Amino acid sequence: MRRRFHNRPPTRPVTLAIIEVALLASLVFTAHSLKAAEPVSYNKDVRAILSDNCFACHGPDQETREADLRLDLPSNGSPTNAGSMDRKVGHDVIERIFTTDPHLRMPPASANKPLSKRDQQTLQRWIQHGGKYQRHWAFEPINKPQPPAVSQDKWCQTPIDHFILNKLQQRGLSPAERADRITLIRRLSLDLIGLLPTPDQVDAFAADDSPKAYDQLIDSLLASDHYGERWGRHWLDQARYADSNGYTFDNPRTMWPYRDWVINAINQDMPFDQFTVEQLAGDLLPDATIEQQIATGFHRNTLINEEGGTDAEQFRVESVIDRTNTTGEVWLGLTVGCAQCHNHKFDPISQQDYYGLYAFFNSTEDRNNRGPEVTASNPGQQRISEIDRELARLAQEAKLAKQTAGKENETLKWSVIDPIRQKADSGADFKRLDDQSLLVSGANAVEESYHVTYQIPASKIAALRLETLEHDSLPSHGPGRAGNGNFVLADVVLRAADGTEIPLNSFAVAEHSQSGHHISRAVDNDPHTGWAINGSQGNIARWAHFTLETPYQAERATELSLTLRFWQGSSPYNLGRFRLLTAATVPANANLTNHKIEALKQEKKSLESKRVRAMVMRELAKPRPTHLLIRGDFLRPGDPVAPTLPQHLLSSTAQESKNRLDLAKWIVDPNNPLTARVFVNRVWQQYFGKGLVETVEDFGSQGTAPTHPELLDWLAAEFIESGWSMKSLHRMIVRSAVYQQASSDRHEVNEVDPLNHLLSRQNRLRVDAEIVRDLSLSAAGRLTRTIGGPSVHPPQPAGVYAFTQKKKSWPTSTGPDRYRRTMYTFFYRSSPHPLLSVFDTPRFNVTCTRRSRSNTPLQSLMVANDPGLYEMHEALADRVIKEKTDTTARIKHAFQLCLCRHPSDDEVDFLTHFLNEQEAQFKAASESDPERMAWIALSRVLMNLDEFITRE
Amino acid sequence: MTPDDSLTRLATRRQLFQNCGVGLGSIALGHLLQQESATAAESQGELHVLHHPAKAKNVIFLFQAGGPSQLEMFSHKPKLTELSGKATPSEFIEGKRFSFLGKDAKLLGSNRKFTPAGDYGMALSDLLPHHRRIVDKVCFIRSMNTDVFNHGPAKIFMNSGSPQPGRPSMGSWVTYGIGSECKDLPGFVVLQSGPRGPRAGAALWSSGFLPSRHQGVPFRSTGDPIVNLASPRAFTGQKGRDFYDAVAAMNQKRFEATGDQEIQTRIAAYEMAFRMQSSAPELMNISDETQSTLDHYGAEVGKASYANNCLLARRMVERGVRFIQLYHTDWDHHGGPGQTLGKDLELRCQQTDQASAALIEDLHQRGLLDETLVIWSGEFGRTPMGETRNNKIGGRDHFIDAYTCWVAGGGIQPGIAYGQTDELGLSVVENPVHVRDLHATLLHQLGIDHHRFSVKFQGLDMRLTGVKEAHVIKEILA
Repeated sequence: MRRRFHNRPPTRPVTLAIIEVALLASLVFTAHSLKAAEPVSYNKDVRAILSDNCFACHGPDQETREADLRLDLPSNGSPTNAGSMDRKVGHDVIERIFTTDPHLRMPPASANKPLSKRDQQTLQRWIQHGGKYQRHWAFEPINKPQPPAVSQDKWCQTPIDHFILNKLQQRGLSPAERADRITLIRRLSLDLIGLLPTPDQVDAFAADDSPKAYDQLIDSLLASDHYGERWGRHWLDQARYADSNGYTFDNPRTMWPYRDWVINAINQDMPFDQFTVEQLAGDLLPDATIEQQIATGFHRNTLINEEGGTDAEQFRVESVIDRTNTTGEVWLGLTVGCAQCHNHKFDPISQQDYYGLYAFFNSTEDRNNRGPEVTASNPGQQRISEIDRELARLAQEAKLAKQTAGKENETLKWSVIDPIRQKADSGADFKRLDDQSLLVSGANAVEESYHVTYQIPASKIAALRLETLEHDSLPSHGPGRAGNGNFVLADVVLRAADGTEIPLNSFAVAEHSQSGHHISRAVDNDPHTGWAINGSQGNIARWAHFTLETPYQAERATELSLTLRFWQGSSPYNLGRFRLLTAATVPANANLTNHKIEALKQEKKSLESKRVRAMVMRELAKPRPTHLLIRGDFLRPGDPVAPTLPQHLLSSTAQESKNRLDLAKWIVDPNNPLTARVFVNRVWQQYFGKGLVETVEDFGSQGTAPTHPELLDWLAAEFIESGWSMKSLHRMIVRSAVYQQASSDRHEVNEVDPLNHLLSRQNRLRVDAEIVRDLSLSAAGRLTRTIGGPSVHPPQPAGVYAFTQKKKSWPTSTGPDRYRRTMYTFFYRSSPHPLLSVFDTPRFNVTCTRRSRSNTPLQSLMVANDPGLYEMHEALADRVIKEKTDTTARIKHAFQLCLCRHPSDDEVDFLTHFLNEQEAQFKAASESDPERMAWIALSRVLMNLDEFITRE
Repeated sequence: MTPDDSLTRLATRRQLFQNCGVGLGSIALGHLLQQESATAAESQGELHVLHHPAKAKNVIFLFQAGGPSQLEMFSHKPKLTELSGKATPSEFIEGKRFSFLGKDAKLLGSNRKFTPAGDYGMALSDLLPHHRRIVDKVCFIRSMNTDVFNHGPAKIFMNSGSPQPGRPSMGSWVTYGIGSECKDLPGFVVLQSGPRGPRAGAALWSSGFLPSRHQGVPFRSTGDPIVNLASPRAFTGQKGRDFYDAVAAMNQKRFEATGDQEIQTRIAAYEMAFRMQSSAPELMNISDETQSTLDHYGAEVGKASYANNCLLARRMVERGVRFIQLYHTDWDHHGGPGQTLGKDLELRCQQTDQASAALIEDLHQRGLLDETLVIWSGEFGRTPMGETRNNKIGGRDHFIDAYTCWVAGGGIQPGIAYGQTDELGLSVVENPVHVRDLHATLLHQLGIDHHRFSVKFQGLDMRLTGVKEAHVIKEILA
């Protein structure tokens, strides 16, 4: 039963005064909860409690609001609004919180969320102090704060450090010492490019005590193309990029041009506002380039359901919902998806707002498995241009030819010529019929040639017509002698009486050609291809036209001989009845120009099929109307909704909002308080393991409060001022002293700050899945450094597809592609490469702004035993054997290749002993090359160390 | 773990490292590690205290993928047979969505022979001779309904309560909530039989936004049960052990230098990986079962089959694996080639009937049925209307409004049939059970209140049962 706030019974169980006295007394004795004198801040202390416990009924959602009481709004003059609550209402609130009457107590028992004593007290104090409201911090404009003054500011390298040190000092803490130089170069390399430095680079940096060395290292890493791969991968998580369609069939799709666009944009340091606009609305920019259209692939990364019997509209709507939610999470850090079915319970986003945002994405052409594409790259482009020019010329030529040769064509006349001698290689018999055709019988060989000599009158011959004819004596009535009446005419050769060949053009026309046996194959000089005639009408009488390269002029009556060669490969496919005709002019359908045109068109078509087509967004010519979907159900459309920016959420200068471009511009408007904060926070997260706002995906009132709000604002303001330069942001963070701290645990701090929120040291972070393998490739010296291109198929263990509906095509890459960076591994959503899923790569069905970092036995089995990684264990062993000679030098080299640092003496001792012991065992087991096997054993140990896959 | 423990252990490790000359390979790290934090955390979930006493400890979900036809197996509808070939009442078709059927679909009666089985005379068809033996041990739910009618979304829905991929599956929820009692095997294992894997693949056992250690681990029936379980050829036996010892010693050394507890977790993970190398093959090796047990299931050593998987499920329950899911594919009988309600459905039943029954009987005989909840279900059922493929009516379309599943053990009342559909099987007329209710009941039997079992994600309190009403089916609890 819902109880309304003011419907309380007339008697009060305990007087308010008594509660207050009791409360004050308890506050005095709970010393370290909240000091009684300390003022209570709505944003810092109160909002989280209200949001968790009260907003559902006393928050932004009008539908569920109880007692007309709002605890989320600033002063608007109403006595029942948090910001302007009158004393009487305030007392009522306190009473309802503290009463022991289960029917009156707030939150109600049905909510199953009783308030803790401490929370009760905080609310009490807040109301006593006047119930001051503050707007939720994330929606407040960004005001660039001054870095605070701190004592001992010699530690500080950048303004960032002032904010950090200030907090540390407030808690009586000091920062950790700077990490040693080797740790720093490994850390920077892993963070900025995701690859290991070489031992030479490590030693050079360790020895370089110039004050500029660190900055130079940063610059060179930021200039590396691998920087775009490393940070592109993080963005691709958010874009939910994958190489397949998802759901059940999960067929491959061509999405890598978008992936390469991201890598390039990041390498060029494309400003983040432009980076945003091109991805959300590149197609709507004036004169959008192909690249800008490819950028819109961001929102074509949605799933496609190819299952039979699906309703395309259902999955189109799901895509639009996903685009809306992803945009909210990635750029605004808002869980707008909550408002898909109902008004948001905690943040000021109504269902109306949601569909206003949704409407921006609801007017694109794509619909589940169909959608627009552009040509991203075309290896045959040059040849296609040539062909186009040639085709234009030929069209002109054909037109001319038609004009001048029109008359000639009219006079085209075929004359039958008379066979006078004939013989077959097999010795088959020929019978001349009345129509001057020859009927073949008797011997019938797999390899066969007919040689026929014809008598011709004085004439001009420009073309031949071979008629293949039916006869009742032939199998299935012919025209061929194969069981079904077919034949394969492999070659046609025409000779003059003196035996010289009269060349035929390498194109020909037939009334019909069997698929794969085009007539042109009878004049291609290849005895193993030929013309055949099977088809839907069966094998029936057909004709073929051949043209002579130059017309043959017979000045007087003479002889011509024709050789017809047959070959099918396994059975006799010879012709059964045929006759030959000649003409003095070329028939229009065998016109050379037309043939050239046809051949060029074929070539162009085949070249075009090699084009890379990228999936893009494109707006419908006529916008699709948007309706609010009742409870998010696409079958229950409600009122129409126009594209609308959530204006009352954030003040904005944007005037008009019609399409995605307006939305994109509003998102990166410098006055938008969320975009920059959300982005810098996620970059921070990558460097420290946690964001300044830990819930990087939720900056709303249910998210966590920032640990360093002023720093967050300073970084956001700085980011905008820098022209949204991502490289500047990275440089700023990695130059800071807080970033450069050692990561070792500090016992003395653990009691004060066990989770290291204040950053009194760096954090040790296990690298992402892709980098786990990249490090192996890099340490073993096997890495192929090519950037971009189609996704590749490195080895994966057998049996991966035992559990998928369809076996996926996995043509294991050989050669350099086998050793590409792991981010280029073909990603099937239904069955990703096991290394990726075991190490927490999400499946990219939805956006991922924060990967989890687990630590499991399956990971151990993967790194220890995976055949693809074992290849790297072997490669590292071979590398150190080759590059160093004595055992200790090899051990040190292997160690440094993997971990960058030099091993300690006892580590060398330990590994030496291990190596010897292993070699002895391999010897005892009569293993071939026991020395190499022992080095593989040692490499395998090094590549399985926690330290190897950890950024310290 | 108290700080003192940690110091003692630290000292032990240092000793190990220093004495490596004599100790390498001969010191079994296992016993040092068994009580360690990571392993201990693995065995207890995030819900440190159950919401109420549990009736079941483990779950076996026999997933019949594709949508088995309830009308050929469990749901005897003489009236449907009588009206077979007649038009479907229009009020029924109105507003309904199907994947392939048109509005003119005709009713299709079953030509199966149904006879009463069990003490209460549950009508079972001749397709399920072995099920007759377990009628008094299971509870049939004849009033199941779900939300989505395409295979992929519906399977994901049955597993995660949402039709879109991305949410945790029920096995992940369960191991996340209450952990697993098995130290040497994953807590959530997936097995598969039939001609191909289930549609939607790994999304079905995904851990969604829960930590990935809770995702289901597919065990293959032949070869290595787990991907990359076996050591490289030359590194088995003593050299295998040496490898783990050396990695542990070096990691421990780094722990001493950095104090990062995560290294301890990694040491424990490697130790468990080592143990899995022997425990997983041992689990999969059914040759130590008696011939009569093998015969009971119809299992054969070295063969990949549903029968073998049912037997493996029992062996996993014995070892404390919390959630076991079997997929048997190809129940999608639309009527086309390989999809007929005749010989194709018969074949599917022959492959599963005996072993499903044997599993219940075997668990019962061994006293495990009481603590093991067994569920037999598809992602949906099939329409009372026939579907025409290749000009022949030989199958049925996907049906989400009324179908049958059964549950057994784990505190479920045996020997009852719950819920009722109308005489044509077109809609539920009594005690409807939604997939959400099945989820709520499953959690309830494990000691979890589905209302109170939520994880915050994207600003929402996410539950297996979602936001719509879900009810524990109290009436079927023992």
